[in-house]
Amino acid sequence: MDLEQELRQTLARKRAPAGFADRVMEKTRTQARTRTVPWRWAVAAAVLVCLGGGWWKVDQAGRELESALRIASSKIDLAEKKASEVFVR
Amino acid sequence: MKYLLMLTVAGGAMAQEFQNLIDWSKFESKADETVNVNLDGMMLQLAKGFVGGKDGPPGVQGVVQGLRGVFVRSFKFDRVGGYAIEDVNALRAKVTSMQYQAIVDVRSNKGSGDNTSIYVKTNGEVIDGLVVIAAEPRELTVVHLAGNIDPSALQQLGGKFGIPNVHLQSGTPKPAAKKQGKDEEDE
Repeated sequence: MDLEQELRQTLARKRAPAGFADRVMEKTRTQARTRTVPWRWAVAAAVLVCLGGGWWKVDQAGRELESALRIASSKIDLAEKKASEVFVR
Repeated sequence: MKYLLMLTVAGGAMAQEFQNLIDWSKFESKADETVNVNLDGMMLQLAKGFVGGKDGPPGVQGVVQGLRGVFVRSFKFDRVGGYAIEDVNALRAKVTSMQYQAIVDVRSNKGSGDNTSIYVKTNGEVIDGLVVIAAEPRELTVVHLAGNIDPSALQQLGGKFGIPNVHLQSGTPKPAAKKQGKDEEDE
C-alpha cells in the first residue's frame, strides 16, 4: 500500500457512533450547569452576608442610640433632682 | 447623594469636635466600665428608625428626629477619685467656649459630691445642641446631643426608658445661677 492510499484511508470521513451527538450535548449541559450554579449561590450568599451585616450594624446603632438617650435622660433627671434639693434647703 | 455626602462630612466634624473636648484616654485607663457612643451622619439616620417605632416608646421619635449627632462617654470607677475635678472643670470651660450656655449647674463643695451641669446651644428660639456633664463620685458621664432638640419632646422621654420624668422649661433658656450644695454642713 502506498503512502497516498494509506493517508486517504486514515483521513476518510467516518460516521459517528450512534448517540454520539446526544452524549456530547448532555455533557455540555452538565458542565454549563455545574459552572453556573456555584456562581449564583456565591452571589446570593455575598448579598445575604452584606444585608445581614448591614442590618446587624444598623440594629446595633439603634441600640446605641436608645442607650445614649437613656443615659442623657437619667443625667438630666439627676441634675434636676440635685437642683431641687438645693432649692428645698 | 449630595445629601448623604453632606451628612457624612458634617457628622465627621461633630464627632471630631467631641473627641477633641478632652483627652478621654486619661479616664478610660482608670475606669472599670466605659460606655462610648458615637452616632452621626448616615448611621444615625438609619438608627433613628430603630427607636420609637411602632413597638418603641412613644415620644422618642420627637426627640431623635432633629438630632444630627449623639455622643456619649461614660466612665464608672471602682473607687472615689477616679478622675480629677480639674479635668471636669477643663471640660466645662471647653463646652462654654463652644457657645454653650449652662442652664443647670449643680456643684457640691464636698469632694465626693455630685456635680451636674446641663448646657444648651441656642439658635434663636430653638435649642440646637445639649451637653450634659455629670460628675458623680464614682462615675463621670458626658452626653452631647447635637441638633434641633425640642425640650418638651425630651420631657416626654421621662418614664419611657424606665427612668423618671424630666421637667425642662420650653423656650430660650436663661443662664443658670450656680447652685452650690451645702453638703459639708450636713457632715
